[in-house]
Amino acid sequence: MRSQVSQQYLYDIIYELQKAFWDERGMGGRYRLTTVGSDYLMRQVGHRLGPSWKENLKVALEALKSEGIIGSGSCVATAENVLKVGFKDCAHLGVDRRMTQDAGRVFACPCANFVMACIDRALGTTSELAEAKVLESCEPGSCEATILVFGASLPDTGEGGVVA
Amino acid sequence: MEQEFDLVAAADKLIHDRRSIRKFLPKDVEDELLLKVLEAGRQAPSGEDAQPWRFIVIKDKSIIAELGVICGRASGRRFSGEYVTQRMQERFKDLTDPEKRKAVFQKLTSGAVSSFVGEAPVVLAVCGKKDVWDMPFDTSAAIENILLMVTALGLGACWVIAPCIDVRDELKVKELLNVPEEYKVVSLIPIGYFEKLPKPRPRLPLSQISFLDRFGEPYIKE
Repeated sequence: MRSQVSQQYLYDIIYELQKAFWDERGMGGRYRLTTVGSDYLMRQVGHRLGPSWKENLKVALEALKSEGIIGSGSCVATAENVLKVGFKDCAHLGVDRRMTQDAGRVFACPCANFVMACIDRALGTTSELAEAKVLESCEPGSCEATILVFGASLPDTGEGGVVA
Repeated sequence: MEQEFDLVAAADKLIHDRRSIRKFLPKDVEDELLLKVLEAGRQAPSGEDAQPWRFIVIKDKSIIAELGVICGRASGRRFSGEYVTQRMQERFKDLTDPEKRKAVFQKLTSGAVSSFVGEAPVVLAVCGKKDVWDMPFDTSAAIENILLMVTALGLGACWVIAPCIDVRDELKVKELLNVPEEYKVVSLIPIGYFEKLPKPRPRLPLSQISFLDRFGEPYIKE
């Protein structure tokens, strides 16, 4: 009988794959990973996405939470086309820590990729992950993605933003 | 009588005369010249002589215009992301003239640095066969050959990678050009006649980029 694969092994594989992209392509390698993280979740909740980017954002954060990928998520608009998406206790945090050491910054963010895919589905845009960073010096287990929705002006996310 | 010429001088001139041309005259490029350009690409070296390159000559104005849109969005998005995180401002910290600084930021974040592709008389799409080991290097060699032949013919071109960096953009280009799954789009090369040759861009001195025996050991001692 096949033994259970340890979670640490899977995390290490994700890290090693990202590191392989970094070693091969340098910083440009992150742009080969912009769809990673979306396929599985789209199969789960793609049917729930509609024409409202804000509703889609909520669906994305809830899906990430219900799949156990993040503990919680929130999003606020900080400019007319810039969103700050916060993740708490993300499963990828260990990978992000190691890639920050190797590449000087978080190299890829599958959670942000999925959030962008859901927003873009509504707006017909292609969003940019401007930055993703681990914020543990501020709050343990926290990270934040800065998403630029290029070519669209977003209405305010409202007081408190979108939370899951 | 055998023609006499200095091959080194010719190669040197060709290499130094090459520029990235982003503004073209509204004049078609003759097929006989395009064939010379393609032949230059065909003669590039490739690992195992695999020749993984395929070239699509795009003349259809509607396709070229759509490529321009994809290029502009790809560049604009990436540079705007750099701008909102202040990394662009840091990268250009030595550019202190406020007007020039504003112009550079505007050119980059608007996507204009790549959307000019949509105005080109002809665009070459360079595709690479994915099951070839050295495909990125092989196709890059072909592209440089193409750029040098373009220069020799008195034409202008620019090596545009913007729509091929992010996999999401590349997929759009593949769909537009009907590129099969077993190939990837490596680069676009808009080609045309031009009015004005831009000034050469600065290059790092050899003393900074060449080493002897081990990385960091100076080869050229100043």
